Amino acid sequence: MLESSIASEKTKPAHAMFKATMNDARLFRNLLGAISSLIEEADFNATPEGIKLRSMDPSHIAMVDFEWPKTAFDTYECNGNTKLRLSVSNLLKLLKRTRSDESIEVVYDDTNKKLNITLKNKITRKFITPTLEPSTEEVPTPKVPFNARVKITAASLRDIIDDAQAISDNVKLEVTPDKFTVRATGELSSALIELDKGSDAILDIDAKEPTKATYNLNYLGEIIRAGSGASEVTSLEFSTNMPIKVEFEMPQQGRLLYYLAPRIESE
Amino acid sequence: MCKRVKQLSSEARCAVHLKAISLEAHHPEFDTQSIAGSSPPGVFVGRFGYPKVFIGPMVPNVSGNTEILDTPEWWMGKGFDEIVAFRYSLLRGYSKASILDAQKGGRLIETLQDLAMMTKPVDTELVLARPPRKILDLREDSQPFGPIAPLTSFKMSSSSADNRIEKAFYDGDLLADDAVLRLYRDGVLVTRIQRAFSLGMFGEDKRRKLVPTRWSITAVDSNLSLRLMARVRQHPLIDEYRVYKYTYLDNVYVGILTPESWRYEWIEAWFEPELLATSFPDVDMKVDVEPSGYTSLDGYRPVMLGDSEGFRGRKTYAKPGGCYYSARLAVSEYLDSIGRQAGAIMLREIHPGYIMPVGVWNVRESLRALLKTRFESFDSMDAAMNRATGLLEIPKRSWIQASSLLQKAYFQRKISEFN
Repeated sequence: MLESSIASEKTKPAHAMFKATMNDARLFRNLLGAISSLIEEADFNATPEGIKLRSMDPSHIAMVDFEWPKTAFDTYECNGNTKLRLSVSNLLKLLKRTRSDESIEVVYDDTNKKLNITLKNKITRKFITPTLEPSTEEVPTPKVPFNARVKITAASLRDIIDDAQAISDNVKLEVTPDKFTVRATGELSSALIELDKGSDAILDIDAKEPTKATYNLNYLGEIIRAGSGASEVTSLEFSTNMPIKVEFEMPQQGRLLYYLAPRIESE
Repeated sequence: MCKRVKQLSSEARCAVHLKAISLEAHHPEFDTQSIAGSSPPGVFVGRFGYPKVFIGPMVPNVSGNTEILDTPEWWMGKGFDEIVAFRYSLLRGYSKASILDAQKGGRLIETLQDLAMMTKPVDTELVLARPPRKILDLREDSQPFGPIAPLTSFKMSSSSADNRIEKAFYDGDLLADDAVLRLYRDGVLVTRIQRAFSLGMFGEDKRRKLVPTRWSITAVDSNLSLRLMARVRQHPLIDEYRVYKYTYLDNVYVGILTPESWRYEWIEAWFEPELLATSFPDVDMKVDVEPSGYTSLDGYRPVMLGDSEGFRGRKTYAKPGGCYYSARLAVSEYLDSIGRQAGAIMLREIHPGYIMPVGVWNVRESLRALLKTRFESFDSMDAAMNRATGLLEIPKRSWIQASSLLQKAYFQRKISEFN
């Protein structure tokens, strides 16, 4: 902490730069991991309020919307709006051996377009990685009404999805005012998982009308595995044959949500 | 010999089986314990007993330009008889080796490594411990193999080495993957790269190992295609849906390229499931294979075997094995050569006239040929699919059922449609 305040007094840069630290480097890595499940390269937007990211997977089937407020960091400085594109998988490679007793400092300076990462505990490890040219692709938020909402513990949702994935490539979700039903139908077997409003796993169900939609389990599985590593509560919102919004509750006003387009069977 | 073929096909239809018998009967030149001939050059590394494996040269009993005998790239258009004759004319003299002998050397290994570097056929002399056993080994993921006998001694005259392979061989710091890519870029035939690869001739000194021939074929196909795919992912998309068709050895190949980010699928439909089951023991017929739901006019009920990967590639071994990777090499090679990116759905119908599997080279070379043919353009997936399935016998519904990329294309919506 002391170090970072000294550093900020020393340098009052006119060019864009940002610097953030976290005492638990592994937390940082897990959050990146949650993004990497869908996205190879992503545009990060650093503003004085925090870091944001919105990106679609290469086939435009899913989208991640992610926000790290400055309060999620132990120290955070950013003197303007900076857009930097990073290879998330490459970054994760650097952070592969991160330990939770290490702190992390991330510094980006616009002049050399490089990201400097310092991991510290008994020894100090420094990594420097290049940034990529930001893309010009617009990623608008899908405009969809949500008729049903289920709030569920992330761990239970993960179990359900793992079960479904063992059987099929797709999963059908159904919500009525008092029940959440998950169906997976495979070549040989099928699974039906029913959760009543009163179930321990369910924190809330809200449905304006009976709602059902089918989603690809490769995508949904990746999303839920990634998010459940960073959060304990998930809310699912969707409407019949419309995209689903999967939101993971984050500490300190952080935001981690995904949209996944439905699968609609009609030949 | 040839038990599998005997089991699965009636005598009347299995011309190759009969041919093999006659080859056995009429190859008195192999009823001897010493053979002199020009190796194409050819070597083999067996996989049974791994990490102790059988290795040795492949030698015909004739001298001269025998290069074609072990150069599948040149076999396109040949019929079963010729291919069988090529394979059957090569005697394998074997000796046991540990895979780590690739680093330790030894007289036989070093001679074989020299042999694998040669640009032209090389005169050799083999002394065998006993007269050869004449077998015909038919497997989809290797190649038919001919007679075999334990080796007592092996002598080779000198000839000129391919300096590209030689250079990689003597570079003990160059990673195997990089060596393979460099040779490929320098125009060395995949068969030649794979041959040297099987003798553990590439990679860091301390990590060199012998690699069974059939594994080395797939390793080279897989690694080369990974490198090419990394480039393809950076290229601009093609502008239309394209449909290609090619036929060889009663296999019908139909390729669909889509104007989408890189993704790849390979599906093969076997009209005779028994041929698949017997020639490809690694396939689990209960788990990996799906019925097509189609019955042909003459009563065949094809089964389908396929696998796919998305933009980022895959982490597990593909269900169809070697063919998946050799097809992936042909597709990524083509896309990189035109500097474009596309999704690729490659379909193969294996009709009953494919009386025996001849090796993964068949898929690699057929798809290379396929992608050189004139394609037809379409402006939607469905239009392309209608044309593609018009060229195939199994109906559209079955292909969609079996294909995860087609399912995605037909049923999966995109998030951008909801803006």
